[in-house]
Amino acid sequence: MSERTEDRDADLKAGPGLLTSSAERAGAAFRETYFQHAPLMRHVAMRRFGVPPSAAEDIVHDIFASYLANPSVVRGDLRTYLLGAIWNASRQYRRKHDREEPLDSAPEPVAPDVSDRLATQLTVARVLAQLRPECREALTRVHAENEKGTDVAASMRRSCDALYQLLSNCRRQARALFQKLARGATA
Amino acid sequence: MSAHCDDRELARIVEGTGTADAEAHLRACEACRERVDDLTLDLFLADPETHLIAEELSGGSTRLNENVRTAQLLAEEDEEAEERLRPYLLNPARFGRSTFLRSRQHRTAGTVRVLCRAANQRCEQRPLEARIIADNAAAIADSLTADHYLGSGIYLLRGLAWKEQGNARHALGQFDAALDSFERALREYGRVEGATLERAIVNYCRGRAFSQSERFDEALAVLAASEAEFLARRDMSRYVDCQLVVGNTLFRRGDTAEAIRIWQALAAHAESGDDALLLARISNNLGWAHLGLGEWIAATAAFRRAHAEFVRLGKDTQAARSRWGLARLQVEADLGRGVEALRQSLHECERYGMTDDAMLVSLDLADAMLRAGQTAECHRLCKSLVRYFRRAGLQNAALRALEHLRTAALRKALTRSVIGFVRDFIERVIANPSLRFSPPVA
Repeated sequence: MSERTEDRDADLKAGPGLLTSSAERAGAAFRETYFQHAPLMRHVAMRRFGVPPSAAEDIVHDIFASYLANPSVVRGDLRTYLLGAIWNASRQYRRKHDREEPLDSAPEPVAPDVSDRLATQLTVARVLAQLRPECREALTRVHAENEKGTDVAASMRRSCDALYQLLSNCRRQARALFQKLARGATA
Repeated sequence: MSAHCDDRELARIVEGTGTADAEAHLRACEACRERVDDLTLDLFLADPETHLIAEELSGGSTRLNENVRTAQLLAEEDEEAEERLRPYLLNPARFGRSTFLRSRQHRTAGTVRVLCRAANQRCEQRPLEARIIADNAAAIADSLTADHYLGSGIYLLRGLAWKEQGNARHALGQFDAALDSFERALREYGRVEGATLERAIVNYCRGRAFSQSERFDEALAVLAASEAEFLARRDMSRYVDCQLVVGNTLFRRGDTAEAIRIWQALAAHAESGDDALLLARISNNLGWAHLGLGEWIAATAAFRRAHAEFVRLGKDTQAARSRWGLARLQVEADLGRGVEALRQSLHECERYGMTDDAMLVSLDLADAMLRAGQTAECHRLCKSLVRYFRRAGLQNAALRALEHLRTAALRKALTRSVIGFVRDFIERVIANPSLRFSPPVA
């Protein structure tokens, strides 16, 4: 594992309690809050309201920026507030772009299987974040963007064999990390 | 299940729809677990969303990094502001005596946030301090430039400061001034497209101010808009607060039956949510509403329920209010015992320092005495009220109303309608201290 990866690993493990200044703690706490809720918010915007991914991302960040500017608006459960906000913002987006009013006017409770799925997705994303940059690039382009192996190999200045070797090593590392994180989470 | 799971079964496990047998096998079989891990990785690696999250986790998202930096700045600013403002918050009179607003070091968003929090915390108990603090928060918020690092969040901050000023003015009974502040808050929030919750909160505040200043139609209109937003956001706590104000507004307007309908729906909500305090408060409201309609049985049940819950929750003063309701009912069943029960209620109010309630109980007692033929005692009581409540620090309009009662007692001209007139006024002036007393036209 490279030095850079270990740094990143350490950063990921550093919870708010290990940080010294209030600013560092606030930054870490915000990140924690963000990753706890943002995937579900994007899920609601994209899957429930059909908001395009880039717009959904913008909406989520705008909601968090508003929350930071005025956290006192949240009474009680932050998740309820954030879900209400994404529901509302997505509805506005749809109204603005499609002039179409969605049927439901109030946020629906999130099904447990969606929550479980998003938790697993976050774990896989944490795995990806801990891999070397070239591992991530190769896995993203081949698995998520469905680029041809030859194209990916060429742009990464590798032979096809070297790319597949890289992918195989990265998968092995990813699986080991996933097992560690997933088992850690269930332990 | 002893044999390994096939790929279809494993895929179902990954999707969360695996059978109990397959799940049991998985717990015992390392090979199948590894296969499930592989399939899970395949599934999520193929989802672009996973890569987006990974990018954000590794610090590659500009927007997230901006927000993290903002969170850090806010914490730094708040910490500094708390330190700098400590002497001012310990003694808010310093705001007036110093060059606080002219000092550049205080012109930060952190100062506004810390002042807003302090104003909010003091609003109920020390409204004058809250108003001084909120005035400064609003002035500083307005002085922050539009190119602030908060971006459009600066309008949210200004809206918050004006809202807190409105709350403080409301707590001081300055409803018109409070409504002006709330208008300013709405204007600021109006500049942020997504600030619908903030606007609903301010409209709720406006609804309370309209209601207490007896502008009932305006109150109900803005409360309806707020209520819809709270419901759409599943913000049930604010929705309930809003409904309580709607119920109170209808009750004050004289739509008792409609108020009962609202409160009954809220009582059902409180019951299903196991919210005993809310249920007790609503039951108490229902008691008064049924009492007003002469529905003695329903009133008794509601007051008893409220009383039992308040006692169980250790809310002594609120339990005393339910006992007062029961004493009023006792008057209808047995005048003599009712007078005695009201006397006990009056002692309780005095003991707990419940001055406003004590005024109303005194008038209920005077009315019951008159009905029971205890005229001399009633006159004595009415003559003593002005002196007693002046000593308790009561406001002028209420004292003028009690003075009117005293004059009637001195002239031996006390009637139930005079007592009723004064009682109605006192009840209104408790909600709206800006009212002026005018004696009834003879």
